Amino acid sequence: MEKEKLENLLIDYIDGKLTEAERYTVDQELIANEESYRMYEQLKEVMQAMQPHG
Amino acid sequence: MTDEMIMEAVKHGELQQASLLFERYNKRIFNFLARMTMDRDLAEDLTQNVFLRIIKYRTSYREGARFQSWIYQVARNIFSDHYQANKNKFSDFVDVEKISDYMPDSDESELWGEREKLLHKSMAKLGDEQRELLILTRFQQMKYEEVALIMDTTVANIKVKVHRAIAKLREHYFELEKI
Repeated sequence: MEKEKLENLLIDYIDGKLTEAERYTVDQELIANEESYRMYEQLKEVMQAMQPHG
Repeated sequence: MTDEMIMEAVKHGELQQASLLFERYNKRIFNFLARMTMDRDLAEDLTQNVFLRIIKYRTSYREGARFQSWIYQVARNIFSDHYQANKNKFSDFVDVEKISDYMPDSDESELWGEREKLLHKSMAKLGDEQRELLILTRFQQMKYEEVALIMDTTVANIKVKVHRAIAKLREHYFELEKI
């Protein structure tokens, strides 16, 4: 999957803004691709760090 | 009493009512400016200027306009004016070691750990617009619709820019973590 598209999907995934079908697509990507999973973990960390009490 | 009702009263000469708006927005505006400037003392001065400007230009408040959008627009203008006036004092180079001088508001200070320092150093490496977008949408948890109003653009445009800013922040954050 193209990097920017994946980033967009992952950000919405972490924000809980994806449809069920989109979530399934992301889940499959995270299971299949270690690099994508690493990106997910890193995005989640910075997004949580920006939460007011994160 | 809504913010808009209070501002209408201020606009029509009831200046003492401005203290209510100060109570409601002082902390939020300070936190916004502190994160933008990364300088607590400067942020205090600029926050004071925001409220002074609101009083000074009270008649320009448009009836029916959302007050929160208006005050953030004023705060952005104050920041921008300060930046322009002190342009020669700023540099593209960010001395990340000095960023730790910035301390967030007391409610957040207990969380000022290594992760927070790393986050602020990473934020400092972003451009003003990207930093501002993350401050508004993430730290201050403002809805994209509200930020679109403040920045006079579309929600879709804000979303694209916020996503790019998060992606850029991730890069800086994990680059700095390696150091």
